[in-house]
Amino acid sequence: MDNSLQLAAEVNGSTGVVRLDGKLDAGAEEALLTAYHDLVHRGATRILLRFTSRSSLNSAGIALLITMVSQSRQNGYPVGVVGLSDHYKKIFEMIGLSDYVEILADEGALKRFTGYV
Amino acid sequence: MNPPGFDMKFDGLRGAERQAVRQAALFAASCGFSEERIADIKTAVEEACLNAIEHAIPFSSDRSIYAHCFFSENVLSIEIQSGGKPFVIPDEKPDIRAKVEGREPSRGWGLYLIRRLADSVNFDATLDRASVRMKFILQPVPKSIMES
Repeated sequence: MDNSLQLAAEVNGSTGVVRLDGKLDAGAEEALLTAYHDLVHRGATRILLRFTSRSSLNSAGIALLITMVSQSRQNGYPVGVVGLSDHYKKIFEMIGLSDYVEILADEGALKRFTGYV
Repeated sequence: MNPPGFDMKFDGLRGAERQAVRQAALFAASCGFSEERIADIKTAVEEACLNAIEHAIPFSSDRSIYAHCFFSENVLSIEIQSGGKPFVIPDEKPDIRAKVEGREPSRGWGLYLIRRLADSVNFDATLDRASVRMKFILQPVPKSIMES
């Protein structure tokens, strides 16, 4: 089964939303970082990464997220994630990434983060 | 009765690790591992393969990866072996703060994830072979769940 990454980005209000459907790995570097810079250029001041039931990532994908989070923190823009499976929530906590991104567990948390929904 | 295990050989190319991940997941399921543990096993196998592809095979004339997997006495053992030079095995957890602050490269999580996800792991490297041996213990299903 092809699980290559389908990435879509849009701005909703001041939130830049990146939908990550498929495998986030080393091959996604240009797409993810270009999407981030494009969202910031279009006025986003917070970033929401939306994972799907098909989403997965490996250590290279984790490194990409760290790079993006690093750039976003330098800009002062928070990063939230929604739709992570329990397995990847565990991994985010294991490596400490959950200290730098907000894992949005439910619609209420999503609404507080984005200010919409 | 569970199948005894499997051996496979595949090209040490990025993307080829999916074969080993899929096979290990199917085998773990047949042994009775939970979905949660199968997700751990898939990640650990993928990272072991990627480590071989990125850090060992480029230095080897043998461009293949060998996966050996068997189940015995409630322990699933998986070995990922390749040619290539020994890789550096960090003792400590990578420093997420240094990485987020840009003081260190953001990569370098694979071996740490393997260590955390497997019940035990042994890294072995000689001058021209590198291997990662992982063990995953099958936890008995609580009686209350069996009866529900």
